[in-house]
Amino acid sequence: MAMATNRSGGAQRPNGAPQTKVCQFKLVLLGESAVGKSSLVLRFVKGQFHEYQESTIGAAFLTQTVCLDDTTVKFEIWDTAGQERYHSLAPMYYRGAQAAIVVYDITNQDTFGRAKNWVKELQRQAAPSIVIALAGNKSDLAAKRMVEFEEAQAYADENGLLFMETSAKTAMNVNDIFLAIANNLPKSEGAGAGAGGGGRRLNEGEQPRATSCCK
Amino acid sequence: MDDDLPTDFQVIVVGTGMVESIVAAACSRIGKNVLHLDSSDHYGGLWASYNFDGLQKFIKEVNADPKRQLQVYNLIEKWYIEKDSPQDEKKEDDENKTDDTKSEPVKKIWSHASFTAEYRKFNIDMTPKLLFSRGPLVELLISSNIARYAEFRCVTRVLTWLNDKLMPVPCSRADVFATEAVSIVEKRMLMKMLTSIVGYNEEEMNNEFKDWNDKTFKEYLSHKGLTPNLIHYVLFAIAGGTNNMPCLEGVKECKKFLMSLGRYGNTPFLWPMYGSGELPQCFCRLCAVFGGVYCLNRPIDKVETKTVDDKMVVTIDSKSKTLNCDHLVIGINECPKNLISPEPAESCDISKAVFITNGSIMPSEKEPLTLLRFPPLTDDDNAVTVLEVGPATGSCPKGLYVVYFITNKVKDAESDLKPYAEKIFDMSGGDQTQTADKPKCLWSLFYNVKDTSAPVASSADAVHVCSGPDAGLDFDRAVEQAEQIFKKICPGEEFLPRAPDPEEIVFEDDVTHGPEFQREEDDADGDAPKE
Repeated sequence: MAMATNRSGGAQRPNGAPQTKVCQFKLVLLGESAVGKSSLVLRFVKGQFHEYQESTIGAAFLTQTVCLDDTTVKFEIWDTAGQERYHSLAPMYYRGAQAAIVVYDITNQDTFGRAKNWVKELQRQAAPSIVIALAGNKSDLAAKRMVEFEEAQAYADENGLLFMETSAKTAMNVNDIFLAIANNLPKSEGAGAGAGGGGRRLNEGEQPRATSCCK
Repeated sequence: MDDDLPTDFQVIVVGTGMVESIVAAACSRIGKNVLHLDSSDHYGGLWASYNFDGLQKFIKEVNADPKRQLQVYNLIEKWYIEKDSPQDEKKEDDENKTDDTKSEPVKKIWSHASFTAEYRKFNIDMTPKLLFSRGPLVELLISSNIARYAEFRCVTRVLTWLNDKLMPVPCSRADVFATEAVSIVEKRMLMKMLTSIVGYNEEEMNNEFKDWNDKTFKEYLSHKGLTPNLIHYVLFAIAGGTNNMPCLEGVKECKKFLMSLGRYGNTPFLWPMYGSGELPQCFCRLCAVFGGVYCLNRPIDKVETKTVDDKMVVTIDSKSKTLNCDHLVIGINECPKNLISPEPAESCDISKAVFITNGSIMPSEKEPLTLLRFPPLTDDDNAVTVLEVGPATGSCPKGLYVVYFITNKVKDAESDLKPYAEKIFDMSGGDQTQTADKPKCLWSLFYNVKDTSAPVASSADAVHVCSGPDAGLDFDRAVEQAEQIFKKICPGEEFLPRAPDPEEIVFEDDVTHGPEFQREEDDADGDAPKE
């Protein structure tokens, strides 16, 4: 994989007076290594699928916009960047996250067990109002299924999670799960005004006058 | 399990403190193969922030382990509140009801139990620090694009202790003219002084002050005709100095303060949301995004250097596994003594304290975020830096403030800092609902930290030792040291070049298109700039 510069530039942050309401939310991905977290995001954001996706470079911080009736929801999507592999995910990863997708692989029972642990971790670490979706990925491999749909659905219902089986490979339910999350996020005044905790980001854009005030 | 951990790396970094994390990010960013370890189960080492439960664990661990007391010692934790809240559920409900109708909310009565119940809302820093808005760390965060991982709050005011009370320090031009604390004549004098300091470049500065080399900044300020009040503001609050501060140092500190005004807020300072302990994690994340491997809970047992084919390699034994690298970057507190050469000179340790209070030291309409600079109260003391952060910074539950005290050690943390704390807090315990002119202190922790901030040379070229936290207000020394270490490991390489934004990343290798997206993919050529 290589990187090149695309000169089209990034989407602008919503300014003060948008035409339709624009809400921005931080969404984090969680799940065991190799369940397809990055693949889901790359499918959702870029419409691409890499059969032998190596690691997480590139998918670690993507944005994508979903349009609802009266609201534009901009997701700032955080991938784990592999830090979950040796149980070393930093707490800053969860900070201010308003949504999470916990991913498991339907052909691997262990990953479902780990997904349940991630849900618990989110319930401990993240904001209480976080919207959590459970994604049973690799649904194109249903022939090798080890986790029953009903079992996962029951678990999701018990814990108040959104649930879908997805396939990053065929794109099944990928857009849908993000859309479902967008629909479940609070979009009241002030919600999702900026990503995360309500602090400010430092961006070059606001480089002000060169001299200091005391002039 | 850890033990599918690969064993060969170009760079292994041990410890997740600020310096280590910046070096890890910088090496990974330019393509080095990096492994980053920490012996404990969390990020940051002595730079970490803890929730209330984590902090209790930290205190217990340090008190139980004489080895850790070489770094952190004299811990004194104290509660000023009851174990349990006095009111039962029902009474609380009643109070809530009256809250709706009354304009003045009833003050919550805090207890050990209510702290424990809300332990996750606390983020208490072991090394609280501010960023100068135009300082090296802010510039680095922006230029490297790591800034997108973090959020900040502006420090809303700078206070000082003058004539036995708290006084706001006028920072900006507008502040200077708005303040009633100084006369018109004084205002002109102050503006003239500050303007000239900002205007000097390095050469002019050295020229202007060449006769002041062995004199103090205070003497210079008096020479310029500043009144005692103005000298106090400039010397203690703006320059953060003491009576003995050398002149040129004072001028440079003033300039640094003034140059950072007007970028983000009313003061020159920023505070990281959720605490200073977030910042090392941001650098770690960048390292991971560029392929760095992370493994916490991974103590190291032994470090050896040897020469293989004229090249020095470092081997590290960890959990019965041998890890190999060309360069080892290691935090001073994790570093085996035989690799440090020579032993760093004894320096002045740091006295610190954390207080949790039920109100701001100077209430204001909007939640304040305060830097308070205390001049020394006695001739033996050092100046004391105080940071007060509230719920909006993610540091504590609503209704509380976390207040940090930092000074250079004279005797021990409690003796050094308690007299200052008593000036601004009510430390008598008792009824929390009482309205008084000082906030109640509900909990406190005093501790000393060994100063390990001096740069340390290692006995082997392939081993790079990172300093621990210093007593300074900002992160500048950590950033500077990290860059120096990086330049030694990767000579000629750029230090943390800008990481691309997601929109700029284009995948060029073979892509298996999914059916639903096939058509769009054919239309859009991934490499071509889109309009």
